[in-house]
Amino acid sequence: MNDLTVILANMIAAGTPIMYALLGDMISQRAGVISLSVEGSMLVGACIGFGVAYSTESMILAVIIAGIMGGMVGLLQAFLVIDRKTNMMASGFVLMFFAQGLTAFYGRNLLSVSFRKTLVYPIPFLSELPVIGQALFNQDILTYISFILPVIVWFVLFKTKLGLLVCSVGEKPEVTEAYGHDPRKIRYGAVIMAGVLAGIGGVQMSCIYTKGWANGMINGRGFIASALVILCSWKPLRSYMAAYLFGLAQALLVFLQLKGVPISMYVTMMLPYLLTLAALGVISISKKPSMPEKIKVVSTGTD
Amino acid sequence: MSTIIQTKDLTIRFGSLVANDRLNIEIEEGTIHAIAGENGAGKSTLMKMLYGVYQPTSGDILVDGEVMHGWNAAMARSKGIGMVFQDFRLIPAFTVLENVFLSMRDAGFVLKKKELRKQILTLSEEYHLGVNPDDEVWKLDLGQRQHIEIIKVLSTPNIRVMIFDEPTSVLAPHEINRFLEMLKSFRDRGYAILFITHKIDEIVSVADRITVLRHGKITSSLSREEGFNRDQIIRSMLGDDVSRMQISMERTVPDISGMENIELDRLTIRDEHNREILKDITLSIRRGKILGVAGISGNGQREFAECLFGVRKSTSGRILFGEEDITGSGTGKRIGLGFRMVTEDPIHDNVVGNFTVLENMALAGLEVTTKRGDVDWKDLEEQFRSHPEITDLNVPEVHRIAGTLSGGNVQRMTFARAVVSNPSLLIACYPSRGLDVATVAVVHQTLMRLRNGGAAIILISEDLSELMELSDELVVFAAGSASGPFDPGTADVNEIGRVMLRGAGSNE
Repeated sequence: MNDLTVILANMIAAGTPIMYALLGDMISQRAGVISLSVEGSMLVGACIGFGVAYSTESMILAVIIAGIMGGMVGLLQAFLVIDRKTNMMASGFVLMFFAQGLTAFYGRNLLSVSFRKTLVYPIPFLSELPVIGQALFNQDILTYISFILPVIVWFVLFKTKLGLLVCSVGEKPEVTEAYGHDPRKIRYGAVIMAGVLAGIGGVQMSCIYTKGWANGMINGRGFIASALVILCSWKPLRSYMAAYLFGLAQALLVFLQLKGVPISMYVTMMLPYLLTLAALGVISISKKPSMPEKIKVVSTGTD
Repeated sequence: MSTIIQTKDLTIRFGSLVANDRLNIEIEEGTIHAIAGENGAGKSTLMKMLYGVYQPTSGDILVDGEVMHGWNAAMARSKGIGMVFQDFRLIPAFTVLENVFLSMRDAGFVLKKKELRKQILTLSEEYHLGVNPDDEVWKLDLGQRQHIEIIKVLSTPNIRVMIFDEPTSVLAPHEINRFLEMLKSFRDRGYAILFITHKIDEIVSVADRITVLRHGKITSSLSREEGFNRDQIIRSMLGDDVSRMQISMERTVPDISGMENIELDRLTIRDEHNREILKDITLSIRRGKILGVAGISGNGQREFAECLFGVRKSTSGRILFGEEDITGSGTGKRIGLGFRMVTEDPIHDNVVGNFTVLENMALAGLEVTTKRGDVDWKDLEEQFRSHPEITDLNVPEVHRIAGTLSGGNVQRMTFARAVVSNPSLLIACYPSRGLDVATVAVVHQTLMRLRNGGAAIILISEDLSELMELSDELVVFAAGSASGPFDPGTADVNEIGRVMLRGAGSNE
């Protein structure tokens, strides 16, 4: 593999978990709830998913369980924000710390083990393309799904009744209700969906990307995903750009280390976050066109 | 013509309040049926009951002669009854097309843009609605938003009854005629139209039948063939209040010797976007006169009022109070000179929502006395109860929280507040907008009394008949300048309407 292929492959691998969490939180934010709990969902999905995969050797089961567990964290967030009307930021943070403790406890026996099963299914012909073949088409199923996930989310959000209902709840729930739909149920659904997708992103990370479990391994990726939703201007198709921007920064970090470039590891580890921060800074001075009304209330305090 | 909806002794109670009391009405196809009445007469409640939002406490709703059981909005829609709500049910961030799609029950799961776009355009062309399916709603004005609501109702399968809840209250004067024409075209196509209004002119010009409600009961029901009588309609709407109020609109010549007039000299005002919204305005605002300001809203009326009151700075020109140049002074100085303003949105601009009526009155208006270092609330309450203007305006009870009052009551309160302090200049912005006939009459009477007492009044309004009736002089704001002054006694309404639409250029 040449250098470019290495960077591309790493970019995809690091970007995929972000992609899932990002799209999940985007659905939730479209419904008017910022799910910072996607961080917690990712942790739970990564830990429990890895545990299931390790003990049953069934990846399908691992993904299902990870999705359910991530969704449970989402359910907690939904209950706190929608029914108990707590601050969505604060409850998201608390759920993250809770998930950290919980996974550290349940994952204590998984620390030294690794998952050797290979889950890669190369796509015939496409995987033999020069440069991009090995990077893009020699991947696992969850990664392939993540390639089309933004299109699916885009279609559902803007081209179906369900999606428009979700968006209407984030804009003007009175109207949703006037049409005979329950905004509360729709919000619950959206926040739980965010947790499910983030949980799957988590299991992709532990089982496929790092092939092991480590305490706190999500390391703020859920928060990053939540912030990247703004970078996407709440538009699903822009998640390719946002998720792989983070992925690219991560890939460069690995690449610099492989090449033995003499920079402190701790400096390079800042790189993905620094890049995301810079991107957010740029987007935030430009206008914010499509921010859902109900998110505006939270983030700028204007109604 | 066949009857579509019939009600038999329809009654609804909210707690101890009987909002609708044994109503019997018939809705026929191909007719425009107006429901008139003051605010709180039970008009909206009746509409919502017919549309299935509220369930009657007793009585029956019959559709096509059949008694309906378990009446609800879904049933109403399936029977071909649609409603255009006063508070539009639209999502501003969505396009017209997406909003229409969201409202449709049987449109399937996946949005079929092409089909729906065609359907919207066909309806839009048929009734000259001018709706573009791909416009985002937040960019559209209220008139256009109403058209989207109408399209939504027309898209309901088998629609035959259309209910409009105060449709003209959001429209500018020039849009109202077009709207009424549209109602006629619906009627001519066989739709039954039911619309709520408290504007008598609208009823007289389009309705085939009118039902007047008062305190939840039908006080009269007239058809066009029987002939509409304006006075009779007003009497059935207001009941005995009319005789009790003894509206006096007498115009006297006040003694204004020694009172300062206000002169505006080549005043130029910029709006929020730094555009010159009014340029070189020269006007005399004289004591003991009502100066009417006509114009389509958004032509600088608000900026003009704010500039006079001292909230907004003029870019050039001078404001003189008698001999004194007060151009640079702030609101404090001007309030000291007796300037008062009632803004177009008093609930937001003039009132502290969490305060009681009395506390709001104490903030401005009533003279605050102190007792042992504290506000003497007892004395204030006494002032409040004994002040003739406050009693005349029928200001609500002192201990009610201002934020819970209806629009009409807030208006009564802010008016009373401006009036009790004997202003030298009262700037009244759209004082009758959205108010019922009785409150409007009281407001008009109060303005006239202030004028007769030597105050200068600036009356900003969109309602030409109001302006023609009250003003001593009339100016029109359009295209950045003030035309006039016209004499309402001799001026032609059509001429003024033309100036409103085209600006001063057409006047020369």
